[in-house]
Amino acid sequence: MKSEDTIEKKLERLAQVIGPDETLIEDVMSRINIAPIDVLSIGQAHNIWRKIMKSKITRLTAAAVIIIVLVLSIIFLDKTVAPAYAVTDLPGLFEQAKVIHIRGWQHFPGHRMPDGEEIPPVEIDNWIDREGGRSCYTGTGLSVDKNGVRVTVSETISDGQYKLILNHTERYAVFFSISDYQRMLEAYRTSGVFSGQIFGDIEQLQNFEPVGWEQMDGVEYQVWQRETAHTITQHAVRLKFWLSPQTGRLGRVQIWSRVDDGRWELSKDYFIDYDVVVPDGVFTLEPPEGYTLKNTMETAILQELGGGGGAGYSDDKYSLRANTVISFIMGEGSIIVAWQSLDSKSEIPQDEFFTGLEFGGPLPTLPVEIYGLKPAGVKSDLMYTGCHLTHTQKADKFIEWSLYVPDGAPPASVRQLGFDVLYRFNLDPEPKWRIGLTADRNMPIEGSEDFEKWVLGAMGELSDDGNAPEGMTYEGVLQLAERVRESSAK
Amino acid sequence: MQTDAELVQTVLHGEKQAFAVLVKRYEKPVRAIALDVLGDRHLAADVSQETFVKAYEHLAELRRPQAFGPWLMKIAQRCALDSLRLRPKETRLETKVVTVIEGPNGQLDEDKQRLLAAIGKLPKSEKRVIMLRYLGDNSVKDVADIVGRSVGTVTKQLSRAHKHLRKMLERSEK
Repeated sequence: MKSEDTIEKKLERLAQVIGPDETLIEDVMSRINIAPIDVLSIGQAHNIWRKIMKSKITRLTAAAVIIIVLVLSIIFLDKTVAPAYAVTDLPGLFEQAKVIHIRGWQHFPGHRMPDGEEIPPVEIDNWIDREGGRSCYTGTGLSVDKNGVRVTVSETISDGQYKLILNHTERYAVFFSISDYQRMLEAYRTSGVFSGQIFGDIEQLQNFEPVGWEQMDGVEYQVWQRETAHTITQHAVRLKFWLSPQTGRLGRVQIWSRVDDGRWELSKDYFIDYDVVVPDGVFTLEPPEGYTLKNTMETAILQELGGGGGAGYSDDKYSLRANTVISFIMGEGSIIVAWQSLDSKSEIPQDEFFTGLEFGGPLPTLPVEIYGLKPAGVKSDLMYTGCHLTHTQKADKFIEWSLYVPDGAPPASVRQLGFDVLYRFNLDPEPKWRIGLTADRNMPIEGSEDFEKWVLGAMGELSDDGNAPEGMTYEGVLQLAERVRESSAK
Repeated sequence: MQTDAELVQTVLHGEKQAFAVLVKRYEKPVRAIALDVLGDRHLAADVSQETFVKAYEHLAELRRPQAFGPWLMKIAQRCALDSLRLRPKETRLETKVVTVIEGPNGQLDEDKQRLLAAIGKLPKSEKRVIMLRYLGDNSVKDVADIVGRSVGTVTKQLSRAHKHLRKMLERSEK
């Protein structure tokens, strides 16, 4: 028993003694079939949702996901349930809306004030001016802890060149300037090209069912409904859309949440107007009187490229930050994701993680490593496996650029719903937390021109010298994806 | 081979049959833990079943699906301890006396008990790969796929685990 062989033999003998239990699987499966997982998941989902809402980080991530889904749903459904129109008309109809006004109320389902009363809803007043590249969004947050209930309200106003964030709770204002690349990106994301991409998956509508008719402002709307549960949290929501068959437009959106006792409580109630005159002052970057100015337009902070999910965590061992920065979907289905991961309490310099990496080789073993992707929001066995493309550095930040190649044909839904990010911790001991990373705004890259404009543009945006790493080409990435597919097929 | 995380997600998506793969994969590691605590194979079999049912019932609460293995092993440990607490005192004393015999009563011999106890003391990552490799009858490649690590990493972990086990057994023999 002095060698490893002896240990191995002892282990093998132990395994023989333990032996298989012929009936275990059958016994377990017969017992769990009595308790349907769907019921369990839904029941537990609300506990999870409560946990999410108790954590600032996860709450904001969840809120971001909801907002993205809502916005995409609004854009997507806006023009697609119009029996009077042919499907081919829909992208054109979508582009006709130059101004979108979303007004309504944000409620806080599942939560109450300490006295048991409903938390007062927050009024929402959002504007999108596509042509002018301007926008105005209201954001809300909810914090529930032993100190009570705290609702935060902020507003983000963009005039296309600068962005002003107003924190109405803390009463302060911060200015950001927007780079040329990001201006281009913002415009793109609200353009008809983006909407055209969204219309690519119209079969999603099959999941909605008509439940009635209602009139609003003299217009007849058909009400469509769908109930769904979030892939990860299993949080159950009911979506209701008011659609005009005459105009193909979406007039109202309601999102309901299922709370602990099984009741449905209203979460969002939005009314949508199209091409209305924008009142003066909506996009004016002027902080209200009495607000503390963190900076001015002249000293505006250059807005960092972002848009993916981000999370942070700190305890006595770690001070972690991780986020996806931007992601692109290549024509053949593979995904490029730029991501970061930093443990500021670690003594390992970040550049060491990126030493010796090769194009197409293993990913850097960063504290949080995004090793794969899965399609979000749908049942799928598809797995995207990651490999290293390159890295860029801006100031003290290192950004990993990875390629994720699917092991089969991706569902069309990935273009709307994005991906669940699969990650692991390269830390010992592992932190006792879960990060909420997402990669859900994937810009399609259909050729070399797109690649150079968007992917290399983003790499340059995230580099100190403003240039993308040399040798990175559309064809090179496609060839790499093909090699990965071939090797995984063997 | 699907990773634990993928199987967990599949089960949570409503495909219950995928849980059978997890039961098959962790059947022996779970029973080994129960055996280590209880010293009785019949009781360990009952606890194994209870462990998997509990794991299934609480699967949606698992925050990191890729940590299914360690999470399951904790449940097994808890279930086994609960079972131990529920047993009458005289049975426990009897077990102490007869555990040196490996035979029809379902107990392990002393060597195997010490080996099981030593496995239980390994660091989390080493314990997992040892159990999957030897008690779960998986190849090194399969273990690597299951835990989502490279073959090289798993090989190193197994090698370290062997060394740790050897040292622990040597100490316990003295």
